[in-house]
Amino acid sequence: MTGSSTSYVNFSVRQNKAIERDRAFRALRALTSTNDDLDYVYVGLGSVWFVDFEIAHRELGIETMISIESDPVVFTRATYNKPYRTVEVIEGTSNEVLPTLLDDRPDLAERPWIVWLDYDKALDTVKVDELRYLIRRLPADSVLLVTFNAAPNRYAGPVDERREAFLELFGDAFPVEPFTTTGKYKDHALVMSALADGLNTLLHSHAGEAARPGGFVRAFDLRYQDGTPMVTAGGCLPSPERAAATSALVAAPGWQGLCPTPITTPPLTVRELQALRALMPCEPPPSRTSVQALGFDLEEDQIAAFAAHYASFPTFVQTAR
Amino acid sequence: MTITKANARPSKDFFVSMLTRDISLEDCILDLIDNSIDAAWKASGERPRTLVVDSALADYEVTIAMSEDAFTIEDNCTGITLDDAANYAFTFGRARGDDPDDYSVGVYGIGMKRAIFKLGSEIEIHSTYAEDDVLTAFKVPIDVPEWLRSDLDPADGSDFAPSWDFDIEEDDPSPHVGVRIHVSQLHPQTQALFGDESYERSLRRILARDYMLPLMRGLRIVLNGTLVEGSTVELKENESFAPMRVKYDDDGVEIEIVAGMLFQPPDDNEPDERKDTLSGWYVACNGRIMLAADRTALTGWGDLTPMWHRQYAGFIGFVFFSAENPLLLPMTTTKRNVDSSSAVYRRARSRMYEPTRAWIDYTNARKNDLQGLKQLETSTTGTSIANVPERPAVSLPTVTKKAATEPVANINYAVPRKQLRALAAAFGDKNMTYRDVGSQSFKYAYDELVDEEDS
Repeated sequence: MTGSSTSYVNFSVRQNKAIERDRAFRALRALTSTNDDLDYVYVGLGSVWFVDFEIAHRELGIETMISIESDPVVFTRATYNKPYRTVEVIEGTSNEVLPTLLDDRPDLAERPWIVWLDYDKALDTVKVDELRYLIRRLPADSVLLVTFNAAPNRYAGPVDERREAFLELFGDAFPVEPFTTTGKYKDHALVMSALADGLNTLLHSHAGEAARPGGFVRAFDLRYQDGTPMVTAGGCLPSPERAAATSALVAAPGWQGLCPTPITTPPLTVRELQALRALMPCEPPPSRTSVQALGFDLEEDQIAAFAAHYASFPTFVQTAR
Repeated sequence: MTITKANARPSKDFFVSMLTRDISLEDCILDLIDNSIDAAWKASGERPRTLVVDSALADYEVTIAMSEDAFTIEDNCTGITLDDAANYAFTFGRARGDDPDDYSVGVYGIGMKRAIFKLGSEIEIHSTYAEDDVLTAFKVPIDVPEWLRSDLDPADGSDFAPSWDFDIEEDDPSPHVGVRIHVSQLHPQTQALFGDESYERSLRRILARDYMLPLMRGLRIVLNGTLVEGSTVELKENESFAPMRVKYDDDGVEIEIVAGMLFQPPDDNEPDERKDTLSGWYVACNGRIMLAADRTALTGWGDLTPMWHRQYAGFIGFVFFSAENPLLLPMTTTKRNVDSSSAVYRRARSRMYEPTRAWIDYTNARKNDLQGLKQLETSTTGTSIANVPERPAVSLPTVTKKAATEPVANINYAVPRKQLRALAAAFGDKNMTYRDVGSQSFKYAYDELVDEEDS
């Protein structure tokens, strides 16, 4: 992806990105272990780091993996860096490569896919068209995840043009109801939530329009912020016979793909992390006084965010940026 | 001499499976709302005859609740009387002797049945009505598969006379008069749409637009707990632009046409296209919008005038047909189109041509004085469609080609800067720009040397 930060930033050092990825893969693990008779294909934009490919292979046991890379230089590096023999790196943009895979590769087209398109940039009409195409064409029992930039100004600079920009992109799928004043289009948390909801509604609606057997089960809504607000949304495209079980799995309390609040843990040093982790699990979250008693301080919301996600907090992180 | 009879008996399955294919789910929901609104007009004693903002229907409310499990619509209008239910409301097609209500849109006698069959298969229709000032109620439960089964010939070949009737049962009255229709066991396609959040938003937009008139008159429509806000339309006006409004009668039908500028037409030099879902013609019959933002030959585009083109965006026109006898109106059974063969409609269409043509001519001529006209357009203010005064034609600026400007010559020469500064000081301002020194010099020499009459 030319110009994308994925080409030069290893996301494993962003703790909230790492938490989001951990939750997504825990959800995928629950799904793939339920459907252990299926032979999944993993398709992503692996860049040169292949962090998600490593997990897909180690944790989900997926062997057939395809990474798409549009930048010729990064493509060469990606081919050099691919972590496993069974990772295939294909040069091109995802909207060029995915149709050829679905049309020309019966070895892939007859198996369920887990597609994770980590766009890094904001959604636009080209990306939305690509997602619609995937909703129509992905094989039965596939999963589609999309990560995109949710900074409101990436959709329209002037605040009073944002409503129209979102409606242009999502149509009636965009939830305008929470935006009772124009000023609310500046609210990062509200816009992140609306974009996740809008995209999932659009995918659900398109699966209905396309009369996709089994429909679309909304399964991912993970919002996180290491600096730029980001959203991961998406869902499952079950076969009719697995639709009820998939809906039940996603609705179960342990499903990790849906998180009602943004993942915004604070950057922590190794010492702070070890000290805080020693207080976990703790419901309700530890008080500020008890953190101060450890010898340092955090805001109440930072403590709450840590308590909510400590199990996914990466241990190798020293600083976030 | 007649030998025997050919079986021409209608099939129930035709009504349940086939008629429902000709109409969309939202139009079925609108059919049910139409019935409530017809009852509201009747109860209020008011009529949907003109565009006005008032509270004529403020006492009436239609509540719709829809989910993947069930659909319910309830109103507080007059209710259906037992006599009407027994003899008219459930017949397939309007029964002889059952004339349509004055100024209603329910004409054909199929709307409610088609709508409920489209939605699902377990239906209950409840009505509470006032009889001698006492609230009385009944319900009509319909188990559609069971009702269809009674259409099958009995295996023993005995005389067969399928019953088309529905049972009417006693029920407890609601606290107020009105009708409640509850549909469960929704069909899969209905479930899929009701489970789609964007469908509710889309339906809300359609309700706001298509019931703009009754909503302007105070009716309340509540969809899934939230009030529907009626669409508002403001036509642009100033000393150069003004919308038209004409009213006339034609063969028992009252017709009102309002048209004008909704927004500034696009500047063709701008490459990005504005998404425009509003421009075009709107046609309403007895207060219900049947056709919205139409840009097809139905309303004259591409037939009486050139085909619709982006250049014409910004034009909006409304035609309101109202009649005591709704059979005179140019309605179709789906109420999502107009009957273009109707003579009343064809005559109205020729009147609609005039503002359309005026707008086309204006946008064609606009490029001759684009900047000046854009300024005029932006200096307009909006007038609510209900407040547009009667005016026989739209007012638009008369565009005249700019007078050809006199040919000019540019002078460009270099002089020593010191001399220029000295001349500037002599003109009274040593900081004068080079350009102004040049202009002043030319003017000085011209005034001194040229006789005006020779120039």
